[in-house]
Amino acid sequence: MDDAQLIRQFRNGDPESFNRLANRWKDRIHRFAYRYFADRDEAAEITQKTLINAYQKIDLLRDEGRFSPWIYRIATNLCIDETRKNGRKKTTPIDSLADSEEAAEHGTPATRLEQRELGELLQKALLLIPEEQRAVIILKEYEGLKFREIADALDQPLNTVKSRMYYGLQALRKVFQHWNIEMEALYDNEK
Amino acid sequence: MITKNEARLLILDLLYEEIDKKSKSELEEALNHYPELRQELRELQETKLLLGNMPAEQPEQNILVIHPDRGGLQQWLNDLKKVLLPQSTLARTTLGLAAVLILALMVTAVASLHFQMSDARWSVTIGSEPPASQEGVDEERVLELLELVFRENIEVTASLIGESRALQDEKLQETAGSIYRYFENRRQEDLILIEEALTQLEEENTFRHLITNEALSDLYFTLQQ
Repeated sequence: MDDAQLIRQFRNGDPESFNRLANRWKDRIHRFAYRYFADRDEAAEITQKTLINAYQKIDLLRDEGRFSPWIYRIATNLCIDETRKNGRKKTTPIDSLADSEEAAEHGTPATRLEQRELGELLQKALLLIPEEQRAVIILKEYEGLKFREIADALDQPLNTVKSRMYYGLQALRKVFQHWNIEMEALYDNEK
Repeated sequence: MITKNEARLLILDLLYEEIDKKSKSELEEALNHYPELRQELRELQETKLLLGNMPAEQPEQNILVIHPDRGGLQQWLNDLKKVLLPQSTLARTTLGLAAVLILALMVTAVASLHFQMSDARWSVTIGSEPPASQEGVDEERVLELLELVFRENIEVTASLIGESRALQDEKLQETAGSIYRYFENRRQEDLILIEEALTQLEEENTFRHLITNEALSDLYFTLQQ
């Protein structure tokens, strides 16, 4: 049974349908929020708030077939609100640069990074780029949304989304170059 | 041919396999024309490949999932609402207006509201009706009251002035009496002094007269001898 059918059943008075929908989406929302904040507690809180908001506002969703961009919009807005409300970034660029440079230079060589270390560096790199670009990259690269769906989720024009994606990837590349992470790391891991 | 920026957007479509055949051929043409775009494409592909190495974070087990209790009181209330409330907007509006009217009447009854209207104004009072003295007065009555107050003020002022004047007269008479007594005493004293002086003068004159008579008598007898 797909999301749209669950929503219709929920609207017709079947409370368990929303539970099934929430269970289906909680991991995805948590994964999105974790990549946005790199913080488990923050991700758990955003997941809960997203599901609560979805429950409270599901009657406002006109097209049940567009639940995916709709719930990602809720999650993205909550992430941006949380960042602005707290007036902070989870990791400041300078600190992250310093930590990561240390990891890259004094730890294992960049060309032989373990998968876990590489993952942590990638997570830190995401925190260094602007929020709007970060959200687009996460939705595209990790959540697998189409550009059109991301545009719907963020309520932005399609070309704006693509532009954010383009500049976000360029910014990440510069960060990787700064940390001396080379493509050999990837190739080593693939071996 | 498409511009560089248009080609960059298509590069993303190519990167994520969202490009159609026509756009792909346009992009290939642009890549042949702009070698730097081909380099950008390669860089973006590498970055994308690197990003794909981020492991997925598994959520902790304690994430709270909502368990909506739609079968309880809330559901019963919602069902009741669906049964009782009309579905059309017009009917809902009419029902709403009727409810407001009934509520207004109930409030009026409970709070004992009184609406009063006159030519110039209207008023609303809560509770028992206000006493007559609290009602508004017309201009003539105001003038009468003002005149009465004015008269009373005049009488009070006149009374105060009379009392003050009497007190003043009394004090003046007292002062005049004191002055009179003072000058009377002084006159009596002066008269006594004058009388004493005259008596003394008379005595002196009598004595001088006696001396003169005695001297004249001696002279007479002397001349007769």
